[in-house]
Amino acid sequence: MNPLLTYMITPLLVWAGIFGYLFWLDMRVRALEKRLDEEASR
Amino acid sequence: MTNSTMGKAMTGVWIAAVTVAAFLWLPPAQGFRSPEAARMVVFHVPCAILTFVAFLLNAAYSWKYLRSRDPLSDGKANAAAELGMLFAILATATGSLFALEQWGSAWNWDPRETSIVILMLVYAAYFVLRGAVEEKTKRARLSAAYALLAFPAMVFLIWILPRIVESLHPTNTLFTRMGLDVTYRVTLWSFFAGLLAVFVWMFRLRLRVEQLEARVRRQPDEDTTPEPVLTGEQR
Repeated sequence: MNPLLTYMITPLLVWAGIFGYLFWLDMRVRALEKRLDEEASR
Repeated sequence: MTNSTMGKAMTGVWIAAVTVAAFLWLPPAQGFRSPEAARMVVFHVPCAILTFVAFLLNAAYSWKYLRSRDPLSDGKANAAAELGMLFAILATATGSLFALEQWGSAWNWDPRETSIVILMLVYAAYFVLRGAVEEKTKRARLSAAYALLAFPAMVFLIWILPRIVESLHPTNTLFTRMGLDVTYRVTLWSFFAGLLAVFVWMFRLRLRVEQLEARVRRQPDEDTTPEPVLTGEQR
């Protein structure tokens, strides 16, 4: 593989890992908050 | 814009700026098989350091839980272990790319490569243990005890084993003058600072998930309909 290409993949991998995890956590927080709101309004 | 949103935006800008600086400012490192790709260390090493930080926090909060029996400490220990696993995966993936360019193969069974695999298995067992015990206080107690047993193994695997066995990884390059070049050191620690801020952000968000899940569990279960018994099933 082209060394520059491999080098460019590395930060993208780190970015994808951390922002993917953040996005997943954010989705879980939203889903749980929505569920609590729905149960409170019943 | 709140202070928290501002902080998150600044963190994003900071790590983006450091990533660009690593492309434009860092010179290729002579002495490597692939000098251009040597810049990868500025992304790989901070991930490896944060793996250690996260597992250290896991042990500290587990110790705190066993002393105080505070469920929040158990939640923090779990959040730290999850982050430790994330950064261990990132350190392994980025390290494999580095190894592919510099050492000719993505996996060499180098002592550090072997030790991170063992480390991930040790902490995977921590999650299996947490998933296997339903009762909350028992789960917290057992996983805290396990985390404290895993901690010395983690210190041995990260700090001792790679130093007593011949390794492709260099040692003592981050803090000594004979180690990394100053431009590399500045970029590496700048990226570490940005990742540390993201780490705090993720840790707090993970804790929020933990707290919301606890609140959901406390809600009375309205569905009290008994589970249907299948024909011929013994109860």
